[in-house]
Amino acid sequence: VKHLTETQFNQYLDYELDEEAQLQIEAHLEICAKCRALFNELGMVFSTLAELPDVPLDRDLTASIMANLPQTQQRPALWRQPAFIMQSILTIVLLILSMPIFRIWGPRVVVWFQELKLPTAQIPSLPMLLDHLATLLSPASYLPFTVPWLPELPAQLSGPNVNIMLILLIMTGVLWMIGNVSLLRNGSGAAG
Amino acid sequence: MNNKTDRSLILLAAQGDREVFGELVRRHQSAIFNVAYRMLGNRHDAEDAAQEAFLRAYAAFETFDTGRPLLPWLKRITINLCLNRLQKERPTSSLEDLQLSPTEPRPGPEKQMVVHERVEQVRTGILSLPPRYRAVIELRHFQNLKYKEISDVLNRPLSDIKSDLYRARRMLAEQLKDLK
Repeated sequence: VKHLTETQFNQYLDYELDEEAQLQIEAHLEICAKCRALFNELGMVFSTLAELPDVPLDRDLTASIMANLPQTQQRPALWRQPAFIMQSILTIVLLILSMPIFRIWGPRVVVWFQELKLPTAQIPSLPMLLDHLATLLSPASYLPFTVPWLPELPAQLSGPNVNIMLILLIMTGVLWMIGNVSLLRNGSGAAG
Repeated sequence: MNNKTDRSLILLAAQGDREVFGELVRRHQSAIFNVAYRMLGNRHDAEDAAQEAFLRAYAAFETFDTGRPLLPWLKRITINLCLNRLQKERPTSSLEDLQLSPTEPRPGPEKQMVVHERVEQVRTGILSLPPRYRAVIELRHFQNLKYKEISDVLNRPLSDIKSDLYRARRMLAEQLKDLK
């Protein structure tokens, strides 16, 4: 007779078998005295452990646990954290920088998109996009009109030098995003 | 605070509220103490382990998934802590050294003796197991964890868990043979 394996005993006792496998084991236990004896021994372990009562706790442990808790490091309020202050400054710089840029670039980008007349159902090729991008950056493409309610660029930065402002804007934006990632990782939420 | 659910307290405790953590300790200290008592076998060590388990839980609260129940997490910390202690202080104490506290509930005059003796024998049987067998018995029989969950808690292969569980049960069966 082939006796039950460790795994079969475990799975049967722990109700981890499907009905068919369970019936097979029960059939074997009917005919095999050795496995039946072992099953009874193991079954006794289950019932004995299940009956083991809890012991009452003689004293309240709360006070001594609380006394040994590490002193919490008081995290400063969000608005006092350096990362938050830096983010706020960057947000203000970003807004100031972007206002004159959008004064000029806003209408320019709109027209640029209008001029990008793509044949329908055709994906533009990379050279085509690059050519068109060059027209956007070319001084010849400056438009005579602007967004009137936004502040103007300083005189020395107007005209083709607007690109310096654009680079500054992008760099500030990158710093702003890095700062936001840092704030989010600290669980403080993002500024701006 | 007494009326609040564990879940609402956990959210506050996770933000570092010490008072709320104290309330969670009050609620669960008895269960944690019992886990440690089954693993270690004496009151003093069990109280000490329970305290350390709570301190570890407090330090690791940031890693706790606040959407899950707290008690099973605390119990797992306790079991691993006890297991580490037992493995450090090898060789394990012999059966003669095991002095169990007479703290079980007392039913009746004569029956009390029999019940008490039986309970002590079971506890002694558990404590005679090697620490890692004790841990699988605790996790399977008292915490009702599945094999895979036990393997995750103890960070050991599933095949080892199954075989340890079987051997632990065989050893316990031997220990408890005379128990009627």
